[in-house]
Amino acid sequence: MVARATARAWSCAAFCLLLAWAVPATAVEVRDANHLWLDEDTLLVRLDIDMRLPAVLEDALANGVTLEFEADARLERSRRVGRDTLAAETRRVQLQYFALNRYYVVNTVTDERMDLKPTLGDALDLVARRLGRLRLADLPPAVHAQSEELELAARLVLVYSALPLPLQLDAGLRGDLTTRQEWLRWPLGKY
Amino acid sequence: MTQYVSGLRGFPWGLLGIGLLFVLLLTSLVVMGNAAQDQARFEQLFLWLLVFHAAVLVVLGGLIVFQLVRMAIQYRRGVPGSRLTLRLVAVFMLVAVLPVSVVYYFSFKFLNEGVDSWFDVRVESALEDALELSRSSLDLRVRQLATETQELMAELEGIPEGLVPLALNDYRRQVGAQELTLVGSNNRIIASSTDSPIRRLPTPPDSDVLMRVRPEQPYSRLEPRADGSLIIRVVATTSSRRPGSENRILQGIYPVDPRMSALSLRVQDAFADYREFAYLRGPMIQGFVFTLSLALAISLMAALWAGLLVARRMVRPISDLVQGTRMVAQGDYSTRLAVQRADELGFLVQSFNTMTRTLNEARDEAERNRRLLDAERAYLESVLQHLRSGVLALDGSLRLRTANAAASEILECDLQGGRTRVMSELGADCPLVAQFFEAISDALVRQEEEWSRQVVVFTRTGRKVLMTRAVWLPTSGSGRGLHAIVFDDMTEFLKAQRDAAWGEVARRLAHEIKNPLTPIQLSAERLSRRLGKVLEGADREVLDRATGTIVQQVEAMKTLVNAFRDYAQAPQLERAAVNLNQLIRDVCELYRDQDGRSRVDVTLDPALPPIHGDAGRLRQLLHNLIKNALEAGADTDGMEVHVVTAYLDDPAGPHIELRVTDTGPGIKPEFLERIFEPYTTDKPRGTGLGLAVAQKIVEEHGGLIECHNAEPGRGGAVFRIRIPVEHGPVVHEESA
Repeated sequence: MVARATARAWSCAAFCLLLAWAVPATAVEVRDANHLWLDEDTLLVRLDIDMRLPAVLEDALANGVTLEFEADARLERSRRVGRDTLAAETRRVQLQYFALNRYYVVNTVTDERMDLKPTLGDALDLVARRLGRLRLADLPPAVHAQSEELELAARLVLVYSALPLPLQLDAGLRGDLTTRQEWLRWPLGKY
Repeated sequence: MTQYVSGLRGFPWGLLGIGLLFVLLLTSLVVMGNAAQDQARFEQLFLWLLVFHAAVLVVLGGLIVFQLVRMAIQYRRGVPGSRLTLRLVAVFMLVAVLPVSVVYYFSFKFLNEGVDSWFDVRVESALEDALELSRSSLDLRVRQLATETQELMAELEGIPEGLVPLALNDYRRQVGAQELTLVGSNNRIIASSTDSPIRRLPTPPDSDVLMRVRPEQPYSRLEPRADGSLIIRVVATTSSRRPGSENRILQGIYPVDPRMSALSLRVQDAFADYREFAYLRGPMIQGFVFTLSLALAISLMAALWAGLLVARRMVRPISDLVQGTRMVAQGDYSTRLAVQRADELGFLVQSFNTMTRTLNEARDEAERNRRLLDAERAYLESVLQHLRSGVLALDGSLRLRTANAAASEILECDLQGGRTRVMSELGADCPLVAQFFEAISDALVRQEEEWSRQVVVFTRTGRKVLMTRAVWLPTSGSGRGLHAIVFDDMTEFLKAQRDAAWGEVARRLAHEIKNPLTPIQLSAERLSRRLGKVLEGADREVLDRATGTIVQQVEAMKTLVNAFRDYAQAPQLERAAVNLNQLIRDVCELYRDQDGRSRVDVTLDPALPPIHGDAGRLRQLLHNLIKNALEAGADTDGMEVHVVTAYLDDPAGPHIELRVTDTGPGIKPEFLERIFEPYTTDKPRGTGLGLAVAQKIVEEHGGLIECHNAEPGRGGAVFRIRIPVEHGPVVHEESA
């Protein structure tokens, strides 16, 4: 599973290099983020997600294309070169149109939960809710003492490789489909 | 020896690169072909293949740009073979572009029209109808279950809460539900029944559902499950009949018939796939076109690159040949090209090497011959330069080709600097050459095969007799013929010959004539003595006059004979250090105011060193010269003879100069040439031997005597004698 995810990430990166000239318009993004301590060793990262889909994705969804979104949260320590990841959490949510009952199905891949929403707006709200809560558990006690040195990072991406290949090429070449979002970072000691 | 091709250079790195690229592309196509059988694998590999091809494209583009830039630079610099390489690349490019363009055009057309043909309106309509049929069928079932659930809810209203679980269990079995759950206020589960043997917590309806439920209007919907099945969820409620009692909600989850569920899901999946496929038709065509364009671009670039490499490889032997030819043209015959091919180009290179080897050998042979010729020429030149005979070589147009130093000296003209000039032009600058050429031009023009003649030319110092021999060589001198002319200055030889003849004459005269003179004189004197006593008067007078005449003439003849004797006798000098100044003073003193009509002056160099000579002979020299000058001006009043001495030290060596000049009428030009020959005189009483004896005395002392007339208005004849000395000048000497 991890290998497949890594392969997909590399594929995304390679294709991004290939299409480096295209400046993608943001489809979904994390507008703001914060966190709170649930207990001594668990952090809840809360993301304020803007889930406005671009027209091409709405069109694709209405025509049977399954969209997959991924939210990542990390606790990191900056180094002179690169960063150390102390903890990480990922949530994946699929959104698809179920033509048989005309409902939108929100499938949370991470915990295999499936929900139905009659409208796209309701479905996107649910996707935002599902992706907007990430738990960083089993943190070491030393984290509290080093809160000034540590950073939290979060991002939301449309899993590009989950799209049908022609759509990947077409949307990528046209540049109106986001492939990734830069990491949003804030210090652990901020909240 | 120049070798252009090294071992590594000859290795076809470019072709190896092309081969590797071809293998990689082939591999990628095989992978793509295999992956196309599996959509998931294809999607997984596609991006990698795309990146790979893009990388190949970039690398190829870079290589081609590099090669083109290099080719353009070489073309601009005129590097051998660059033009041919450019033409071959253009041809390769044309050959590659034309078929690829045709393939591209028809592929593009097939993609646009072929893909569209995959989609059929009737198929789409059929799928929509099938989906609608499934929906209708399932909706019917949903509405039916909603009605049943609503009725069940109504029945549960009358059952005490304690019996509800049992009733719920019974109802569930009756309606075939998976789960029936009765929920009270605040989502409190009052009772639940499920068909699962594993006890699990019932899932109460979510808030969205609760918001949509109305009394007597149950909420129902079809839901997919994670396990791929379908269920029908129905939520019903009733308005409470008893005041104060809580509202109850009954949720029923009903399974859909598995066959019905499977069929409906397959219809839905097919419909979804078709819609997705139809929706992705445009991007798919664009993707195909993009991939096709990429592949064609790679093919074109690969063809161009291969064309570049092949053209360079084909042209390289020709470039080497051109370069080698240039080297040969510059004279480097040691150029050798490496033969790396067994085809016609290899044969050409081999022939080039054979040619350069032959040329090299021929050049070496020619060089050897040239050196030999130069040596012969230098030897001949040296011989010619050291010849005392003058040698001239004229071509058929009488243009001077060769002249040695003796020729220049004899003809008193720098002939060696005048090579390639026509003799008539040279004659304009050199009078002797003009005279000489005029004398022999008739033979030259006639191109006589072999001839000889004596040529007399006149110079400032007298005439020159040139014994000339010539040969006409018709085939020499670059095919224009050659006159080889050899001449000797015979003047001195002839003069010496003449002098020797005169000496012999004088000796015989002295011997044959002097002997009878004494008896004649004695006889005449005896006659005068004997007959003078017996004769008287007129007879006596006649006798005296006759005998006197005989004695006088005999004396004259004795004088003449003595003069001949002096001229002819072999020099037996009694050499000693002679002070020439003093000798001059002594001799001149004898002639001072001799007749009152002439005057002898001397100007003597006080630094004159003594000469090693015979004082008596030198005295005779002075007498002869002064006497000759005085006799020449015998008819001139105020005749002056000036004797001057000087010490000179010039490149010819140290010598003294004695100059005797007079103010007389000078020497007639016709005598000037032969002035020192015996019996050459214009004086009525001269013997003609004085100057001949003077010349002989000078030559006995190793000197030189010259004679010429002074410039008009500045006197008569000038005799200049130069006698070498062995010692330097005398510092202390009284002035004359």
